[in-house]
This record gives sequence, structure tokens and C-alpha cells, in this order.
Amino acid sequence: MAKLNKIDVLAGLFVILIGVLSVIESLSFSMGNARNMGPGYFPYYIGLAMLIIGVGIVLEGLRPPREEMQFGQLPSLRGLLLILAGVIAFALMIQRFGMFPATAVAVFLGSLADESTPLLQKILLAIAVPVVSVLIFKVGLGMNADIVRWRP
Amino acid sequence: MNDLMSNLSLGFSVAFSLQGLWYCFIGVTLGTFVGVLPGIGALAAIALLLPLTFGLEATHALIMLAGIYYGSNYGGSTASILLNLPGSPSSAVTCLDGYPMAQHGRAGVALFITAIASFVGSIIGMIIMGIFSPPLAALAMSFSGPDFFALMVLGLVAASMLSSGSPLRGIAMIGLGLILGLVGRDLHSGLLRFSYGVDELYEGLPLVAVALGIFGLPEVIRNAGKIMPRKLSARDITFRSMVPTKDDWQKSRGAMLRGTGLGSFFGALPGTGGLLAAFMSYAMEKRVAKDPSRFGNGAIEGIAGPEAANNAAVQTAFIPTLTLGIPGDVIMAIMMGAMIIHGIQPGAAVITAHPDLFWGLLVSFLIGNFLLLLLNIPLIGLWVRMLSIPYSVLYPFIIAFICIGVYSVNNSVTDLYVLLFFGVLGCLMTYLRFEPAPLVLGLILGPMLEENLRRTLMLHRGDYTVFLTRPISGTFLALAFLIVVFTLWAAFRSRSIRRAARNSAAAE
Repeated sequence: MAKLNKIDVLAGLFVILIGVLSVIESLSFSMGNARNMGPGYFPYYIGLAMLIIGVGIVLEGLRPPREEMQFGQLPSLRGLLLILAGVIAFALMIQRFGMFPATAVAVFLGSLADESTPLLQKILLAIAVPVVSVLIFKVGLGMNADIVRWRP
Repeated sequence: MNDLMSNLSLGFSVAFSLQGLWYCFIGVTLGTFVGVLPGIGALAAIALLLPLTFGLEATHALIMLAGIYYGSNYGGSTASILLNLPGSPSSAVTCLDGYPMAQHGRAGVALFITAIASFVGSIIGMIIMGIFSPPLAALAMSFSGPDFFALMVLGLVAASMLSSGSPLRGIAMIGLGLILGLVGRDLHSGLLRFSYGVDELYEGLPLVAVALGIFGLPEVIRNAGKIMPRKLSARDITFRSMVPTKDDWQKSRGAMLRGTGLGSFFGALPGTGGLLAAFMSYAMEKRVAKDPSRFGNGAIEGIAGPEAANNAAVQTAFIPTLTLGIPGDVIMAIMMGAMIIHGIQPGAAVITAHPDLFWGLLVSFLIGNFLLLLLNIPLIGLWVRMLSIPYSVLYPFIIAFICIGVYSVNNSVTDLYVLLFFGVLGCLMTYLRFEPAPLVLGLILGPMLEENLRRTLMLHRGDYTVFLTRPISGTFLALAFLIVVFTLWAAFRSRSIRRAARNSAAAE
């Protein structure tokens, strides 16, 4: 058997997975027919199409590897986790503690992703960014959110 | 003719109103700003600012968002020339000859010519938009359900096939976009689909959160700690150093016009856009030049042509969006989303139902481009200094603006988790080499596609052949089919060429 390209296999499986999810979801609705489509009709056929496309992408992996088809750059785990943690912190805090603290924590966590800058710069950013954000969104644009609140 | 004059005067009255001017100015300035800075794209900027426009009138909102779009194209070339780092994707081509020019001490001339080329391309693109949009929209008025369905299929096929990378992957992303477009309440049955228990999604996925998740977050995650401060090849750009020689003018004049022609054409075609046009223009200039070896070493045609091309493309990209309701590229898809949020259904009726919007927007392009000329020639020094802001200072601001921007749309925490989900998906897609752009196109067109399909088949008793027998929809589907055949043929041919090359290399 010819060797498959890993990236095409993974990408194809990803597409097949989406197709399967779509078909499963569509089966919980009435299909109807072409004349009177139910809510399941369109997702069912799109899902089927995705299955076929996914298989096609896997088969694309049969051909010799091309230069541009290497795996894309995987971001450093540290950066990924810290920045996502920043967003999660913001989501958890915004309605409990308000805009300023939520932004400060999100920015501080996010700025830890860059290891090359001194801690002082990160702390200063964690103060400056929320100040600027409050000025723009709250003062400038009249956004409907408290700057600081206490509803844990 | 009389019509045109009265329309234009309506446009002038809208665009020259105090508010019109103000939002245009804000838009192009912000656009230049995000264009100059590598690591923030126009797309992320527009998605970020979208929530801020909710309080504005639709026309002003679009004037501002459009300003960001074409402004970023002007700014994008600055980083390309001075840092060899494209500030926006479509200005990647400008690096090829712009940076060598800067190294030869001709950064000023390069910046000047790109500003002029951008201006020429934009203005001609704008005129083309003004002339061709009304008749196209009038034609589109006679379209009915099956025609729109076929047109959307054509747009989606073109977008997936002509974008870079494998056509199958492009189609897969369209499919994923279509499925994501189904999330929420089905209009016919009222049932929630694909919401997986998250009832807050009944209105569908929040566009801003999805766009910032797919394009904004991965960009920040990828670049944090990676983009290091770089040495500028020219610190001070004096006005004197910007004046091109007579020879420069002569060489770039033709290049600008050819670039504009290519750009106008590819911009108006759905699915293609500025980047492709810029590359085509570069290839064309290299072909028509007497001495192609100058390219790559600072040939002025190599920046004049592509810059004119990508700016012309930006203007004509508005044609299909505003006349047919089919977005030409992702940014246009977001613009369409903005129109829908403001209660304007994009499509043939825009020009007749909202003439103030269409003509006001058109005239604002004129104003915006003059402003950009001012911003990019006399004030260039300001932007050059902006380039020295390190990314480590910049990206925490971007994180904050993304979070607050997404939250501010609906004051909803659910939207933030949508952002998170799509941020992870975006990283995964980059890793697996999927282009995220067609996904957003599919997401926006998905609901319309399903609706037109359902309605058409209900009217025609479930008979699928109606799409082929109606002349307009039949033509569109035939075109879509041709694009598929052509792409597969081209892919096959390039593969056999590669194989032949490898075989002959192995034989040696």
C-alpha cells in the first residue's frame, strides 16, 4: 500500500468527523422530502457531502508530498494556553467583578505568553490596557457594563 | 445621465455631511493604522469595530467599516517596504521590490509611488463600481429563488476553488461554514438545530465572536513572543526623498493602469480578490518589462502595478456584494453581516431601496482616498514612527479589545465561549492547513442558501431540474461547473508537470 501523508489523513478525518456529526444531528429532525423539506433535510445532505469530501482529502494524501502541504505551524503551548486562559478569565469575571478587573487579569495572563519582556512591563500593561479600554468603551462609546462591581 | 447626476448629488450630500466626513476619516485612519502594523489584519479590525457601529446609522457604519478596509491596503505597503514584513496579506507582493528599493535608499520614492498607485487603482475601481453596479442590480431584480440559489452556489464554488491550496479543502471549509450557519432556530419548524443544549444560540452563531475567534485569536496566539522589534531600513522620510524621477514616473504609469485593469476584474469576481490580482499584476509587469532581471532588485513597476491592482480590487469587490448579495471575499462577507445587523438585506434592492447608502458609500470612497493620499504622503513620518511600537506592547491591547468587543455585542458571556471555541478551531485549522476564509462565506450564505432551496423546491413540487432549465440559474450552475472542471484540470496538469520534473531529475 502506498504511503499516505499524515496531514491529509488527519485533515480528512476532521472533515469526516464533521460530516458524521452533521448527519447524526440531522437524524433527530424530520427529513421531509424535496417538495416539503423538514429541518433535517439540508444538514443531512451537507453532512453526506462532507463525508465524501473527507474521504477525498484522505485520498489526496496518496500523492507525493508537496512542499506547501506540510503541517502548519503549531503555536507554542505556553502562548496558546495563557491567551486562552486570559479569555476564560475575562468570561468568568466580567459579570462578577466588572470590566476593569476582568480586562486586567486577561491582559496579564495574555502578556505572560511573551517571555522576552520584563515583569514590570507586564504589570504596567495590566494597568494601562484596562484604563485605555474603559476610556474607549465606557467613556467614549457608552458601553453598558460596570467598570467595577462585586457580585461573586 | 440625469439620473446619475441626481444620484451623485445625493451621494455627495450624504458623504459630505459632517458625520459622513467624520466616520470616513475615522475609518481610513484606523485602517492605515492596522494596515501599517504587522500582526493585525483588516479583517480582525473590522470584526472588532463592528460592535461599535451598532449605534450608528447604517450608512455611517458602512462608510467607516469600508474605510478601514481600503485604508488598511494603503498602510499595508508601508511595513512591506520598510520592514520587508507585509502589514496586510495583499501587500505581500510589495515586499518583493519595495524592500530592495528601501535598501537602496529609495524608501521615500517607493512609499510615494505606492500611495499614488493605490490612489489611481482605487479611483478607477470606484468609477467602475459606480457605472456597472446600477445595471447589474437592475438585472438582478429579475432574479428569483432558483437564480439566487444558483448564484450563491457559483459564489461559494468560486471562493473555494480559486482560493489558494487544495480545492477539496476549500469545499470542505464551505461545507463546515454551511453547517455552522444552520446553528440556531429553524425558521420553518421553530426547532433548535446544532445548538447542543446551548439555548442562547437560538439566533445563530454570533458573527463577531466567530470571526474574531477564527482570525483574531489565532493571529495573536501565533505572533505573541514571535514578532520581534526590527530595524527600520529608513527612519526619517523627508519630503524631498519622496519625489520620484522622471524615469520612475514613466515606468510606473503603464504598470498602474495595467494593475488597475487586472484588479478591477478580479475584485468584481466573487471568490478572488486583492492578493490574487496583485500577484497577477506582478507577473504581468515582469513579462512586459524589457529587462525582467531588475525585478526583485527594486523595480518600481513591481510595486506600482500590484498596489494599483489590490486597491482597485478592494473597490470593485463591493459590486457583487451590493448588487447581488454575494460577497466577493471574507471581509465583504463581514460587511454583509454588518448590513444585515443594521436591517439592510444585501442584494439587488440596495441601490433602489437605499440609494443614500449606495451613493453615499461610493462618494465616501472618493473622499476617503483623498484623505489617504494626505495621510500617506505628507504624514508618512507618523506611520513610520508607529512601526517601532513593539508587538509585545501591542498584543495585550488586542486581547483586551477582542474580549470586550465580543462581549459588548450582546452583553453575553456565551459569546465569549463561542470566541474561545472558534479560537481553538482556528488554531487547529491552521495546523491542518485549512483556509478559514471560505468558512465565513459559507456561514453567512448558509441560511440564505437553505431558504432559497426550500422555497424553490416547494414552488416547483420538489423538481430539482428547475435549477437547470431556468436560463439564469442554468447559466450560473454551468459557470460553477466550468470553474470546477478548470480547477481540477489545472491541478492535474501541475501534478503531472511536477511528476515529469521529478522523473527527469531522477533520471539524471
